[in-house]
Amino acid sequence: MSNIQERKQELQGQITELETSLAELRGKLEAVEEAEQHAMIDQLEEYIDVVNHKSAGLKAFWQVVKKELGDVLGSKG
Amino acid sequence: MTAQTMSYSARESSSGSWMQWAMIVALVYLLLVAVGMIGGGFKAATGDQAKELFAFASNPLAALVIGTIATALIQSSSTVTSIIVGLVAGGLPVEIAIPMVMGANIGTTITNTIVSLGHVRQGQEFKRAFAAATIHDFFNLISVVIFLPLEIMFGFLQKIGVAMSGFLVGGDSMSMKGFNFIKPLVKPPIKLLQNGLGDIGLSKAVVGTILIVLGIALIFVVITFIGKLLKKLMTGRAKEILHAAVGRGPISGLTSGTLITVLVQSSSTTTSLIVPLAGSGVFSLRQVYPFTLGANIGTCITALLAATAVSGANAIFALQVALIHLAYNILGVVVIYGIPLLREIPPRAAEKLAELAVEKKIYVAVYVVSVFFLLPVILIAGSNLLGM
Repeated sequence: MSNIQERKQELQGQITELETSLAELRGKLEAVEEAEQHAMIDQLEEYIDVVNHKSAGLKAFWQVVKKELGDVLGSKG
Repeated sequence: MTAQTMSYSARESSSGSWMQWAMIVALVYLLLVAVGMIGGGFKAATGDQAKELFAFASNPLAALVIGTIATALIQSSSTVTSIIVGLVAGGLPVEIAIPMVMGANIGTTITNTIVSLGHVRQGQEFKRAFAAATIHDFFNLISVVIFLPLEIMFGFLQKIGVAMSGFLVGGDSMSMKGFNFIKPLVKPPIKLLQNGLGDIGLSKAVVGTILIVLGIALIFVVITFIGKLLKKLMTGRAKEILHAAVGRGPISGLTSGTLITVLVQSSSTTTSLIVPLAGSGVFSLRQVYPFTLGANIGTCITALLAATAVSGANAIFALQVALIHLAYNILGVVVIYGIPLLREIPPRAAEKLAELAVEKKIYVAVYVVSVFFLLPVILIAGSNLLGM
């Protein structure tokens, strides 16, 4: 009986330890992610004008759709 | 670089930015004049018959579609809502203006969807970018699905608008009437133009029509230029706001989205800005979601500003529409983002659509054409058939 209690305590201790390291790892990951986000925000000038380049995006999209349509029609024909 | 040249370039940059701010003040003044021109133009052209003129849009679905298509074509909800405020000043009934404003919310979402198409060749990046763009679409669509029927049945937004405008300009103690210095500033150039056109022998109706057309064109040009200038001037401040919001949760995201939109006076800029940020995978869809909603709230500032330029009997209605726009967008966030079940619909729908979009790009084309152009036409045809 006492062996079982000891084993339980041992496992609970291991779980607590794992949970602590998990929380620590999560915190570290969060810090890395936030650092990455801050770095991206620092380059905001590159993105703030993205709304002015819609025509290029549309052109690229149209090329892809045209190719897709060609493939679909080609395979049917 | 020597200290002398550094101080010279600093002086030059400070005087350059001073010039840009002066230009913004001038452009805001022109915006107010333009809104006043539309209101004055309708009064001159139609007298008290403006309501009859807008009868074609008395069907709320038709008004919704007009707002959606106009905004999708112009790609600026600020422009369309400012024009709507001008139309209300000219006699457009508030109950027609409300669905138009809701439509403007839907129409503006096309811009960031188009921006996301720029990532089309980058598989997973396109998937994330497209989902970040369409989350705004789904949110605004759900918002209309919930609030438009309620508005048609109970007119609750109109009641909110009446209460808010009454609070702002109605009571003696809180009256803004005495403090409104904008109307006297805006009126003289409009009167001058109106009299000048009248002096060359044009009829009242022609003068009114010219004022309306000039007003609409001026709003479009002014808002475009204000947006460009503010983007240059406000990038630094926008960075500070975004840095402060990182890791602070949804309320902070919502606030930063609102503030940045107010600073750049364009929800399209804010919602398009997040497309590459989310596309890169550095920001998750759930993180950019509240930021997008903040753009809906921040964009209301332009119409509110426009409403301050309106004078005469319809001034109160113009203010009501601007306040209703704000109330509608805040309510949308409170109800849809506040209720967990509803909150999850836009991201899930956006993710599902993005999965399909990655598989076949033709789905994207079908989606854009259906939501922004085909569905509106079907709605109008259906409601006409049902005799609404």
